[in-house]
Amino acid sequence: MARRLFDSYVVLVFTTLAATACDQVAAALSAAWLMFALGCGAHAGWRGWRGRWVVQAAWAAQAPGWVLAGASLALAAQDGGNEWCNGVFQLWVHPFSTWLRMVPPGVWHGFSSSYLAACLIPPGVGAWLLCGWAGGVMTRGMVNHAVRVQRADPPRSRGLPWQVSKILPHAASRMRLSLRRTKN
Amino acid sequence: MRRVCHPYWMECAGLAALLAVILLFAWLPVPMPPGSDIAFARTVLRGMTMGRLNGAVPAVPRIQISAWQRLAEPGDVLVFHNPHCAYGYWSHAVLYAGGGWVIDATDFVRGTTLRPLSVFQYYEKAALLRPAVPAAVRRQSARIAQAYVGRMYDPFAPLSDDRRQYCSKLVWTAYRRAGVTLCPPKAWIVPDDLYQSRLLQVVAKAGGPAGDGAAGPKEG
Repeated sequence: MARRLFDSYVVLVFTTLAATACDQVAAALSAAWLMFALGCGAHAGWRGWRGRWVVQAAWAAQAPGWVLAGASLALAAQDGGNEWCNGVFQLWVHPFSTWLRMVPPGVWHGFSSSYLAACLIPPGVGAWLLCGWAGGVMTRGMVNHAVRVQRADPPRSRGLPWQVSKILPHAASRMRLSLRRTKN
Repeated sequence: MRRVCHPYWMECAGLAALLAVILLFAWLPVPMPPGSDIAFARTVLRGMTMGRLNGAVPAVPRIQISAWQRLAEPGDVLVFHNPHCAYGYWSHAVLYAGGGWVIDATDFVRGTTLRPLSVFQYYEKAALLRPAVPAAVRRQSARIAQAYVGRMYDPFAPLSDDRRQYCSKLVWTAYRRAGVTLCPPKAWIVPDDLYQSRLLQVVAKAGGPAGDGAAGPKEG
């Protein structure tokens, strides 16, 4: 998952750089990537990944962002000495620049609010993946529960998880089967 | 069914191919229309492949511009030069706000900010330029630029975007909103464009004969 996210993010960076004059295109592309990342997280949750594996994958996928954000923060005191670090970090977060410009203007201890918001992008991507992962884990739990209830007592099943087996009696079993297959 | 995962060498090959395309674009001697955006992008990329970006900053102060506090008026434009700049002879431009302070869209960390004039003594050359417009218009543009303090710095921001600024775009936008077009609009406004503007007249220079580089001579 980390490689898939990293590769797609690099492609996103270059695509948004190519479409630098079209803010709407850049915003749509970054939104599509966020949906893709959410789907990756949900897929990981569905496949039974542990939370720390997802955190590790998110860290690996945004490793350049973490390193560049840390380095530019550390070098910020040196006036003019970190132009390359700042420049590459700005390139890395460029897909989100159309969102960053919506951050209220301001300066905090010499750091602009948009820069501080950009520093939050790598951990933000991790949190976003964890949201997807939690959704995947919940869906998996609900489906497992529905299958169990359907097998135990099909006619008297009620409530939200029971409805899954009620409306789609075969789908839940199929999903269960696909789960077993991925485990193997 | 077992899922096939592509090996790492494919990613490395992809990145290498991308770098090759960038290098070819930068260095292949293909004629491009002079003054066009693509020619400018190639010049910048060529400089960056040689390790150039904003120019080399000297370790000790090179120019004495403290006296400019008496000379400068709100709305004046200051341009600065350091060697090895990727995008032109003049590497930086700021707008004088008054009282020894300038409005500067300097980098991603600080964004658009108010800075004292004294921090710019770490440049090799400087020029103080005054737009040939009424003083009221200059003061108005200085006030407009001050309203941008705290906004995001983005060297890729199009001219139409008011929320993201870079140094020379800030100067250009402040005057544009005051009703003065310093130079024709294009994808990137660089300090050289401001220096070459017919509306800007040189009031003072520091650090040797300004205009001995790509920006061309300009009478003071």
